Amino acid sequence: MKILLVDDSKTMRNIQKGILSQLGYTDLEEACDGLDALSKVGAYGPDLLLVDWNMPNMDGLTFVKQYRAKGGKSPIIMVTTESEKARVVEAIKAGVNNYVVKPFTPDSLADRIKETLAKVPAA
Amino acid sequence: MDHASEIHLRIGRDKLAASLIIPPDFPREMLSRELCLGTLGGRGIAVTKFANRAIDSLIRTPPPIGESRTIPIAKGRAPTLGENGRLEWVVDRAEDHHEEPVSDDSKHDHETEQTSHYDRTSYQTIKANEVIARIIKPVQGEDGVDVFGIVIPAAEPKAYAIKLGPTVQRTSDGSVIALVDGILRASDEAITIEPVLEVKGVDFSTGNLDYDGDIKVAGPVKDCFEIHAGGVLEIGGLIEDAKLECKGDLIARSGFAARKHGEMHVGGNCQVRYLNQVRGDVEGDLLCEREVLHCEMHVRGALRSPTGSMVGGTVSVQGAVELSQLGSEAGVKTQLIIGSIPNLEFFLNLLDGLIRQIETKRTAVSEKQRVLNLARGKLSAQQKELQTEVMFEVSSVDEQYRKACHARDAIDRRIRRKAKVDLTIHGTMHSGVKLNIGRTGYLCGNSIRGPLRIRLNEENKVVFERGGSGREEVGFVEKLLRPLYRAA
Repeated sequence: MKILLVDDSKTMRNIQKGILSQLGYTDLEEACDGLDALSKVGAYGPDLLLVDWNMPNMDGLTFVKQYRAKGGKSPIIMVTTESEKARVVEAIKAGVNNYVVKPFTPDSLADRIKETLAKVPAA
Repeated sequence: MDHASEIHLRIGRDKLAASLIIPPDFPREMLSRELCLGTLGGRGIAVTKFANRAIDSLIRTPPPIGESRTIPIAKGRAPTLGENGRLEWVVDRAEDHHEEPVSDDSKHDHETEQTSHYDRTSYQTIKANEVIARIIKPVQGEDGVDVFGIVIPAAEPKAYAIKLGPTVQRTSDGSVIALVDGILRASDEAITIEPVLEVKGVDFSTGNLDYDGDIKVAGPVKDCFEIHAGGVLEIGGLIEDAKLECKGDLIARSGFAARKHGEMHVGGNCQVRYLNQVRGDVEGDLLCEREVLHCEMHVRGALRSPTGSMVGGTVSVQGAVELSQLGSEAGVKTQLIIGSIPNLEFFLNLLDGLIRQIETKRTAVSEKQRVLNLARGKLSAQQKELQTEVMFEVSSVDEQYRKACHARDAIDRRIRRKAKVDLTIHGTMHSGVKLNIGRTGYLCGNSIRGPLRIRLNEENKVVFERGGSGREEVGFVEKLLRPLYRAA
């Protein structure tokens, strides 16, 4: 399972890496913003993406739209501080599969990841 | 006058040469080939080409009258000697160069020109199936022939005769092969492999001993020598300031009087008359007839010295302890550790330290979390990220704490399961004795007369029995002995 972590905060990426490692996922790739993520998805081909909303250069929502527009089908979990309902709906419409609001506990992120992957049809 | 009778033959004692003697007055005109051949035939000498050539030459140029002549007329051939059987050593025998001042087995430092005579070897270790020597078969000599044409048989060469012990075997090609691992014992009469290395004593004549089997030392072990035995080590004499290591039992019929370097590491049980200033460990039981003096020892089995004493030093014992005296009237500092396993205790202490560190960290992180929680609902995006970090930190710290506690409990359980608290003193526990029971230290302020027993009861509580009464007195240990500390 290949997972791409898109967040401008290295600390946050490290936290996500720690949680994913504990769950047994070790094939991880990192991107520091939406542009960086777009440049990596083609070659890396992730099976799951964890995407922050607020990032410099290209925010998470724009990235999600462009990724889906280019035919990217892997599930996306938006990990963000944006918790207003309208924002959540906007993200879901753009193609996000699940939503984790910061602050989150390691257990809550792990639950969301499992939940999201469980819904993905087997390849 | 029959002149022919005057020509005569001289035959050597060994019958390997015959000569025709022509007297000075023998008329030369009488000299003929037939006469010569007749003389030879009359004695049964074989007429060979050599004889024919000699006679022809004589007839052609006879000696002048008045001159005697000895003509070699027949030669035999002496038998050649064969070779007796012999023994060729394949292994490099230690005794062959034992008297050399610098042997191959001595550790010789060519740079400093120093030789360690402690490392000399006076014995040869052999592995099973190793070729020790080869018995070379005798080589037959060639037969000879005398002047009469009679064969002289060559002397029969002797086969090499040596007695082979039951631990060696001779193969069809003459190789002598060891059937067991052991020490080579060889003389002119016999070869054998002895499974036990036996020496009279350990000193400069033997050097250090390092043998992967049983070793028997009949006499003493001198200062600074080392013995490494793969099996049982038995020593009949006094052990001085030496180092002993054996994978099996150590049976020391005399004492071990170490000073600075004396060490023993025993893989089995240890039976000794007394121990003085010895460091080391015993995997099994330590049975000491007399005193354990100023030793630094760890015994994984029991320490039994029912008529002896332990004075000075520090001895930790995982099994039961039975002594006549503990400490001395002079109040010599003596520490006995029971109910403990020092190397596991070391890890336990490490984990205790780690747990304390984690607890401190946990308090600090929890405080950060508490402050952030106070502002919940009013947090900025940045603070929300910070709160996620703190939550993750809390989770990590909790996980570390859980793992450290789990490891600590496992070690503690193991110590409790393996380390016994059972101390019997038939005589006196003297003042000045420090007694560690598990992780609690006690000091004996006033001497306690025995017989006494300190052990754990079924409820895992330390109890005291006086006079072999069998009556448990819980809490009495704390009354009689002053608690020094109790580990967290």
